[in-house]
Amino acid sequence: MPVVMKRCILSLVLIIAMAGCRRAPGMPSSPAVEQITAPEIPGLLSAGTNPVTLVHFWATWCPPCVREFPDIVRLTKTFRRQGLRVILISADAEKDRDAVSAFLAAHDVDWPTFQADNVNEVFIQAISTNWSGALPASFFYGSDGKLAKEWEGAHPYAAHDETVRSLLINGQKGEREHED
Amino acid sequence: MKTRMTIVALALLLAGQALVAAGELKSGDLMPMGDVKMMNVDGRILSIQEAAGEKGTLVVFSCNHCPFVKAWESRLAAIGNDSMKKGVGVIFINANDPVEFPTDDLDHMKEQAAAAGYEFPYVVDETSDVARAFGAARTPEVFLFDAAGRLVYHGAVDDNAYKPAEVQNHYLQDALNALVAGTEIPVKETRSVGCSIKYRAPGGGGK
Repeated sequence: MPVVMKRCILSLVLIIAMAGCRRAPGMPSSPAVEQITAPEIPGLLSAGTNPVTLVHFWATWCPPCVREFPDIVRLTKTFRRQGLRVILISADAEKDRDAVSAFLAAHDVDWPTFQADNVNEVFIQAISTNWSGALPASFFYGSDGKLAKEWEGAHPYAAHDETVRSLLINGQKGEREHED
Repeated sequence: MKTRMTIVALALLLAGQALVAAGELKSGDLMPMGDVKMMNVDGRILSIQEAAGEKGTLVVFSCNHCPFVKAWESRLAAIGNDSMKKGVGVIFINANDPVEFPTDDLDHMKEQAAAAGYEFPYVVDETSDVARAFGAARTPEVFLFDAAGRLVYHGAVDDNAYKPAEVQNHYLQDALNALVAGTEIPVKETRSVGCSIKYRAPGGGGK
C-alpha cells in the first residue's frame, strides 16, 4: 500500500475516533440550545407537569446575569428532584450560540436550554406585562401553570430558595386540597 | 446573623428597585433635568434643553460596550442625523459607570461618535442622575419629547435588534414621522431587552 494512502487511512481513522469521543460518556459536553420565538412561549410553559417552573432570562454579555448564574444552577440542582423545572432563555444573538453553549458547559448546565435573539415588545408581552426587559429576569410559575412571582435584576440565592420552597409547599397544599 | 444580613440585603435591593420604578417617565410627562450641563464628545458642555429642536427632542440613553447598542448603531445614527434635519433636536447620553464598563469612558465615546458618524451630541451623565430622573434602565432606551417637552414615545428603536431586514415595526421612526407631521403618535410605549445601565454611586462624580 502506498505511504500516501496509508496516511490517508490513518487520518480517516483518527477523525472517526475523535468524532466518536466527542459524545463519550463522562466527557463534558454542551447542552442543547434551541432557538425560541414569542409564539412558542405558551406551549413551552404548558408542557410538563412540574410543581414549580422557573423561566430565567440571561445573556453572556450581561455582567449581573453572569454573576448570578452559578446561583441559578445551584437552585436547579438543589430542587429538581422535588420537581423544579428551570427553563433558561439566553438573549444572546443567534450568531453567538457557540459562546452560549460554552458558557453553559462551563457552568455544568446539563439540561436543554433556549436562546431568543429577538426579545422585543411582543416577546416581553408573552412573558409578563410587568417586565421592563431588563436582564436578568426570573419568572416563577406554580403547579397551576400561572405566574406566581417575578422579578428583574440579580437577586440573592436566598430569595430564589425561599420562593421555590414556598411554591413547592403551596403546590403540595393544593394537591392535598384537590385530593380531599 | 446570616438571616438578618440576608433580610437587610433584600430590603436594600427592593428599596433600590422602588427608587428606579418611581422615576420612570410616563407618556405626557415633562422632560426632567433638561438644564443639567453635560460634557459632549467635542469638548462642549451642554444640556438637553440646549440640544432641543423646534419640533421636539430625541433623548437616547446609550453607551459603547453594549451588544444591543452595536446592533442598532447604524440605524440609530441614521435616525439621529435625519431627525436633526427635520427640526427634532437629538442628544445621546451615556450614564454608565466606566468603572464597571471601562470602554464606556469619554475617550471611547469620542471614538464611537466619530466611527458611527454622529452629527449630534453624545454626552456624559457624570452622576447618572439624569438617567435616574428619566427612569432609564437600559441601553439603548429612547425618549422622544414634543416641542412642549412632553414625552410622546418611550422604548425601543424597532422590534428586531439583531436582524434589521426582519424589522416589522419601526417604532421610533414612526413616532418621529408623526411628531414632525403633527399627527397622533401610533405607539407610545414599547419594551425590549437591553443592557442594564450601571449607575454611578449616588453623590459620586466621574469622568
